[in-house]
Amino acid sequence: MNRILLYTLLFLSGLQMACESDVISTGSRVDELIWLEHKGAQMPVWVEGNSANNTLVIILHGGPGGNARVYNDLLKVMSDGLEENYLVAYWDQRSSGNSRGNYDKEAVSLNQMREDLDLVVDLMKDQYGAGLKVFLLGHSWGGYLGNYYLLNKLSQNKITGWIDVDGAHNIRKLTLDGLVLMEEIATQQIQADTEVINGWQGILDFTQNFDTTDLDDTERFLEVNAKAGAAEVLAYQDELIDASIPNFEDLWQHIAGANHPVTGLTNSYQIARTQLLDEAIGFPLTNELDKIKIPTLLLWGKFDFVVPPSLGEEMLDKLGTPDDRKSLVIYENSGHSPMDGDGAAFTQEVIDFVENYRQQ
Amino acid sequence: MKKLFPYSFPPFVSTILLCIYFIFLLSARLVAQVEPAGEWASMEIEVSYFGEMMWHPGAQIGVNFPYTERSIAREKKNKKRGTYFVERKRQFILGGNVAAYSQPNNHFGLLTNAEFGYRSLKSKSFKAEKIKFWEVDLGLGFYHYELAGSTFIKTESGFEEIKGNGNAFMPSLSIATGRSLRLSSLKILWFNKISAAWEIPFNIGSQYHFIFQSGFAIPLRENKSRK
Repeated sequence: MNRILLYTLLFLSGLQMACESDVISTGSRVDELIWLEHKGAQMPVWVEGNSANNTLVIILHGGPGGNARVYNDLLKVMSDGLEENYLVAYWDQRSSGNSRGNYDKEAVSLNQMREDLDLVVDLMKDQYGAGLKVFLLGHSWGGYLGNYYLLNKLSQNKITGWIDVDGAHNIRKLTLDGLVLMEEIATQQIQADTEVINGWQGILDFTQNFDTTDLDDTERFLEVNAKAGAAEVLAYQDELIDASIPNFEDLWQHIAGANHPVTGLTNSYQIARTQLLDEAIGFPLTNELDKIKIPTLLLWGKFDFVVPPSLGEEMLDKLGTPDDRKSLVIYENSGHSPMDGDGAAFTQEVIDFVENYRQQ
Repeated sequence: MKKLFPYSFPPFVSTILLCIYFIFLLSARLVAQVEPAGEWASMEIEVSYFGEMMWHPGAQIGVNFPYTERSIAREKKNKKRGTYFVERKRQFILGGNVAAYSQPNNHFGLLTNAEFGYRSLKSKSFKAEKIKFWEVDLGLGFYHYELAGSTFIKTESGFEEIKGNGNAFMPSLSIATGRSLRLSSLKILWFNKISAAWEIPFNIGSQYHFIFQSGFAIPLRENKSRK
């Protein structure tokens, strides 16, 4: 009798363990490449991660003309952390990253990009179930694109939550505010007599001599943008910000894996010769943001000279999302890419946000 | 029916380029017929590793025909060797080849190519079996790619899975260097070749491809004068 009881207990405990194990492994690991062909463009979407939670995060890369593979291959803290819990879609926009095809310059426009994104969202729901909870995570230029897409109420109905990371919703403002931030930090670092004081002096001279009268000119924006990138390097050298250096394996994966380095460079070169950036400069989204009412998480680097935190503050103020469903987090150790500078905290914040809204 | 150039590439441009391509292939064949191969020259089969970007692995097989040849021999002297001859041969080469490669998790590429090249070979009489050469080639290629994974388009009834692919012209410029290998009675040339190729069209312009090859050119018949 005791033996029967023992076997029964062992069986039940085994069953329980099996059930627990089922809970852990209900999701299946997804690793797929899906191409969307639309109006001459063939755009890759690498979908990787855990399908168990029926939740997908679409990465809107920077640029314009950036590359979604960067977030997968080189920002492992973020990509691994998100993929452990959710599906993550790394989408290369048209004329960006590994996208291919053939079309006219006119097909590289804000409206076309919005249409492409809408189809990517629909395609993901088609492939992974209509009940799929879709979150957008836009970085830099991807922040502009995400906001532009979400101005439409029908688009908002398809998206559960919006994560804007150092997003460029107003290019004129980010240029002006970038100059102000560069001047402020350069002055501070010169007073501190840091090792790269000459570099900061160059930044200070640039900001003080820059004529701000015609900021709608793309070339002038790009001039400030380049200087902001240089200031970020100085901030890294002065240990104001942190950045991970990819190991050889990850770097090799990025160069020799699914990403084609020449295609990325070609696209980046080509898209710079379209009207896309001019169009975005001419259409700041500040006064449109009240149309966006879905839950939004704003993540910014404190030392982002490219898209300063003041843009995050403006977004927090202008978004139509109720106050209790939007928040801004500023990372102390980050520049333009907080998923790099404060990778672990950044990833946890995104997971907390997704967990908060995916079941509502 | 799927168009050869499914995008906005103007039809008249594709027609002209196709004509040039086939005229080029045809002319290669005609020249080969009217110009007798020199005693030294022999048709070759070319087999090589074909690495798009060097590391996207593939293979190429092709045929080369040296259709004109000029030979110059110069007498040289030195204390160690005494009198010897340095022989230089200059060949114009016509060739055709087919290459395939794969970039995992991205696409598969197929390239057919007609090439026109200039080859300079050099050998010394005291080591006549050792031939060194360099070569420059101009290519006119036709490129086809198949996308990895699944491809979808939006139709009125929803998303439809299609074969994701595309076509492009791919002219190229190549430089090769190599040397002879002695295997049985055949003089096999071992070579390394780098190429820059242009995929036209690509998105709103064109795209460069860098290709590294390493392989062998094997003569189809024994070449007496090479002995």
